Amino acid sequence: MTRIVYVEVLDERSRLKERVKLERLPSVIGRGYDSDVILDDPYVSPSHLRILVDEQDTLWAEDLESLNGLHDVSQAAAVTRLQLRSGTRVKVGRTILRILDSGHPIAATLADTRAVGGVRRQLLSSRMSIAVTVVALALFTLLGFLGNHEKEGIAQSVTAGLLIVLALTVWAGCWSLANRLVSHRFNFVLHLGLAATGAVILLASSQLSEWLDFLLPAADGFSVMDATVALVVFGAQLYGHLLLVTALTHQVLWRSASAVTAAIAGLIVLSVYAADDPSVSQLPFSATLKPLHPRLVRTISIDEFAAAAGGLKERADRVAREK
Amino acid sequence: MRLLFLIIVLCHSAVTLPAKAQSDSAQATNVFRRFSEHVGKIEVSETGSGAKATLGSGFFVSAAGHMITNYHVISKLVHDPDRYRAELIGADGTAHRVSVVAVDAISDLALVLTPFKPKEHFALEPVTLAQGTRLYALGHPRDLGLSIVEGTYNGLLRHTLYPKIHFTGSLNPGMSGGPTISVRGEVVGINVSTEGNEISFLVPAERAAELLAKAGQSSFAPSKSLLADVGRQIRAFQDIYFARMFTGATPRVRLGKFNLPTKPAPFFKCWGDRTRNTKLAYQVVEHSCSTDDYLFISGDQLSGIAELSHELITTSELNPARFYALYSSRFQEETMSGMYGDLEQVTPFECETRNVVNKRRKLRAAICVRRYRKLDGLFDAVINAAILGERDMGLLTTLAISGVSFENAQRLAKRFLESIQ
Repeated sequence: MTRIVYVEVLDERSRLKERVKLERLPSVIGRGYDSDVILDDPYVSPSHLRILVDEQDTLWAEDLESLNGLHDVSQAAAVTRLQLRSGTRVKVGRTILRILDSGHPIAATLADTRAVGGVRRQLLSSRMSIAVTVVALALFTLLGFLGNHEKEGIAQSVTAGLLIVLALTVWAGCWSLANRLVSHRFNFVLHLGLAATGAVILLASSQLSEWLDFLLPAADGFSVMDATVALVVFGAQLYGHLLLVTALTHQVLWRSASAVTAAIAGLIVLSVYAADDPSVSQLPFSATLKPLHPRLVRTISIDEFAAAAGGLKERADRVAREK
Repeated sequence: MRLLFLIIVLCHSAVTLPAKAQSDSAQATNVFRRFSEHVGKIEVSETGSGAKATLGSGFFVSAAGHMITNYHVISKLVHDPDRYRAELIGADGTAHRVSVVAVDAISDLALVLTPFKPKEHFALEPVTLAQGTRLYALGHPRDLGLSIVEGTYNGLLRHTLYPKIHFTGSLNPGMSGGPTISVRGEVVGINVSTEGNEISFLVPAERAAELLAKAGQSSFAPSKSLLADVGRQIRAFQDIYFARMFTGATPRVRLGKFNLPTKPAPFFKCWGDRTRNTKLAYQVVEHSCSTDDYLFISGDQLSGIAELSHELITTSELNPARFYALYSSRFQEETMSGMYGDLEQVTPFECETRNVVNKRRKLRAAICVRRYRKLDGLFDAVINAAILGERDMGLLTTLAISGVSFENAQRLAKRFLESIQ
């Protein structure tokens, strides 16, 4: 039976650079083009070592009188001939070689809980990402136009829409760079898709809260709802970007995203309290007006309104007592 | 600040006085010689540092040593009696402690008691004058020494919060609280404020006579807290003053298709304007009324101000969504002007917003109030409303009232919102 042997070429930090199946034994490894395994290392001789098998089917490495010698990594010593077992590491020049038999044991297969492929397929396909970005551009431009009362409204809102998409691109670009540094891939379109999705959700949430505020002026807390949605979207974005960039598990990702989001929420709350310098001239009333047919607007009578305003006295008294 | 503008603004025309005075110099000299000793300089200073805080004038009105001055001259003492003291400064510069007996914050008057027993004093008796009568104002302008200013009587003003005499003559800072008298020495009024260009105002002497009479009554007991008195006076005053607003036949004004109240009471003055800016995709017509007058509470707080304003916004270029974006932003910008006070005096505003309906229209209405911290039961209130349901026009309207009881604010808000048609 022919013995199948693999040579793994590792860099100085033991990361796998190349895996070569030896077509025959003996095989010569060196820098020369006549070698069976060519090493791109200036400290390696043209024919540096030979891998061979003897009659007892034992595998050997032999130094071919190389300049820098053959080293047994486990012994940290130069040798002229070394018996190889599957997994033995030798150093030639500045390259480490790991010699493996085809029967070398491997680790058990991991169950894939991240399902990146799934997320990509369903949510983060490149095509979907581009579509969401285009939708974001269109929505921001349209709502910018509808929220603008200048004569040059169209030009201004197109510019504003493009600026927002530019900002999303820069954001996605930063994540892509991080992605490239960590896992040799940019994933730019996916990062952009994530960012655009977040922006669209935020826009929808602010529109919804404006309408709710107009239709239900007595109900408070739409701004809190808005802020909560913004934080959740931020946390989810962070999760998504990290999912693409790192190989961390779901649990770690959720924890990291939640921790960062909570920290940001805390900072915002703190800054709001720190800047709590109440103005005595601002009128904090809800001034949202929407073009809705009057029949669709639910109203109360003036008397009911005056009665509802009765609580203001107590509120003002309480504020006066507080300070 | 508007207040400082009114009271402290320097009249430019003082330089013209010597020429005028020459014609009647003999009379002015006589008046000055006969009555100068009736008038004194009143200083309010900080007890700790002794630094001068306010300076005004006053005049003797009783043999017991009572003097009349302005409330705004001694208001610091009323607000903070432990921190300030008031003194009458004699001609030789000696200071004599005076105490505040009673105040009339509505008429801006105060009665103080000095340790002197003057041989002569002014009598506060009714006097009838014809417009154009020559008058002489006495006081200490800018601490330059007792001065006499000639001017003319131009009658009692209507449309002011409290009666005021229009005096054509230059009153200057420091003359506040001094008397303006006829050639015979009858007190016509008390110097109170100026708008510059020889337009000056006097509190009618009858008000001072009433204050003196009240303090002279056997039942009169000096108040434990003059500040509480000020609060009571303003509360009683606003009950009468604001009660008349939006009642009976309030005049109406038409802006676009809307029929709106204007000049809610006779003491309001109204203006209107229209913006025509071709760069804008909309037009605005404004109509506003205000009392143009105020009650002095302290150097940082005025009261008694009421403003009514309407803003009609129309467009032929904006679609409804864009128009309502504009409409919302203008509604949001509605703020109260003409209300003063800082966090020491007033609380921040608290608001209540609802969509409401009156007999004809649906409105977005908001009422905002802030409370006076030192004067119980008084509030500043702002009522904002926007008419709903039109596609290309909108109307924003605001009523702002300062120094009002909560119940009156509620009542006025109701009447005001009902009156928007």
